Amino acid sequence: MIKLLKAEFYRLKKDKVFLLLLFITCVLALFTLYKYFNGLRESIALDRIITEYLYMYFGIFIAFFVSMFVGKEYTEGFIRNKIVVGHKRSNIYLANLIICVIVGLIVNILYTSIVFLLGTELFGTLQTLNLAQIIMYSSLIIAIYCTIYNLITMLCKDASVSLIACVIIFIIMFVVMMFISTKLMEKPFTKTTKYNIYGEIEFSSEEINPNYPGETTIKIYKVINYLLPTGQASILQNACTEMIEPDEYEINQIKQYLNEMPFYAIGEIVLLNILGIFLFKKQELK
Amino acid sequence: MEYILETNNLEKKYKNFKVLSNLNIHVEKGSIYGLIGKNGAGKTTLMRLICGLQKPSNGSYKIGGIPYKNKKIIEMRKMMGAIIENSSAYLDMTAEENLKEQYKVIGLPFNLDNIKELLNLVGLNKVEKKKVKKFSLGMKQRLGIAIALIGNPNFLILDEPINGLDPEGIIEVRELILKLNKEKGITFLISSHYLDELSKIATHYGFLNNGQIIQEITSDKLEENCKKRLEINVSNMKECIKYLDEKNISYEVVSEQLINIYSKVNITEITIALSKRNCIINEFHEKEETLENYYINLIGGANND
Repeated sequence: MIKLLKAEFYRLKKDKVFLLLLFITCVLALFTLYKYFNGLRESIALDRIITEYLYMYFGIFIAFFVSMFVGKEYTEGFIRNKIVVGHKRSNIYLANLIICVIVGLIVNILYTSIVFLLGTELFGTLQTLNLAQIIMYSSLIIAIYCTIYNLITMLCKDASVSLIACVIIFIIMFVVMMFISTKLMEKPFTKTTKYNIYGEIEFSSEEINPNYPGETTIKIYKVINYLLPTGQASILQNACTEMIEPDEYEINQIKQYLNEMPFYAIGEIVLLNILGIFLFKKQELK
Repeated sequence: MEYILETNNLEKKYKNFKVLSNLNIHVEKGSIYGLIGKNGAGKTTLMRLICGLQKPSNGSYKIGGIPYKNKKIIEMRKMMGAIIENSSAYLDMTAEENLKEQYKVIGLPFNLDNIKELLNLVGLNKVEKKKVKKFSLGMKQRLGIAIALIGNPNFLILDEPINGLDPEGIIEVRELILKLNKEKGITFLISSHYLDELSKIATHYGFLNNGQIIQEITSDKLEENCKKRLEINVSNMKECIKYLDEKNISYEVVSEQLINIYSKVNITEITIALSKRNCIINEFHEKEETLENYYINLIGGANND
């Protein structure tokens, strides 16, 4: 395994996709700071800017990297060399995963560092979570993204096919997360507002919200959200959103999410990798 | 006889289609074993199985005497190198970088001298800094062999190593194989469609048809079977043999009436001499078989069975 990791690191240093990823991440960090500084300087929290990368861009960037970096092993036939010289398939699988997770952590830490160092001067300090918490949750989300994409790429056996598959999977996960997030924001009761004859806003008494999905459905949505990396990134993003008038219901929900998320994430990582190694061992390679 | 590779009724099925069936092959240590078979005969599948890329459906094989299910097979594989279908190299990296990568994969210490020595061996010393994507097919093939040579393997598996190469490339690869076999004692298992080219290097042959080895033969024996001969059909075999023995002419009796004469003879002289001994030559043909003819006859025979 160590031998494989050393070889992968050597290749990583020469990999153009990795260097491109680092460059894009730097540019994106600076652009995001500039965008918020010129727009929402007063109302945005630094925490939110830091987690935006993971929420918006990371999933697609790492899909591109994993499918190209790992897929190249198949396309250019180097995976055969590793098996022929006696490396275990499980080690090959895990070495690829580890290298992808490390790349994920590097780019995320790069973004976080730039935004944190420059952003503290521009937007003030972190307000909701501390940096260690953000990095811990981010690392879990990164590991899940890499686990999913590594599994797809190791089974697709072709860089371009796996790139398409990973991008499609990301889009599906993103759309599902958006749908679930909208549903989970619904409260059991709602107050409607209307203007009275004097033009003032009037709140009605609390009414049952017809869009509220119900307890069982909410539980299912929550589990799906916990399992999707896009869902987890969304939870982290929400947790880092500065709320001018914090809503207790939402805060409690987010706290609950953050407490439970690591258990789901670790379980998911372990299970998906066991499945991936099992399927990879069964694969007939060419 | 010490075999570096032997299989025992090896079988590979894809769904209901048998690609290899009861295949038995014996590759002697130090030999260059030419695996001959038409497209779809199962050559590449056999190589994939031996390399551990796929698992047999039935049967077994041993590498260096170690059964493939034994955990020690991993150690044996470290002494192997292979190029299946096309050479494996990262196109965005240079020849030197590809070799460094493989050194790291194997976990062997190396320095620039090791790399230069290998590149020199395969004749790529002048293009060590060139990206592999700019290499010709022959250069890629030689780089593939260099990569496969890392770790000093004693057994190299090459699947169609000269496929798509120009005449110059074919000569380069052929000479490299001979050099490695002679100087380093590396055993080769080579599949090829270019039978005449294979006949210039192979010491042993395995003829593969419909997933089975139909004949294993040494190059000496094959040469004997293919060499120029006079095939004569005689009426009195006993007298014919007596005459050939007296004249110290080398021959081989094929059937009751058919005999092959390998020495250079004058057919008129023999006809007169035999007629005096009450032996008439009914028919005669001068024959010389190439490896291709031999293979086609063999496959034809096998297909007719």
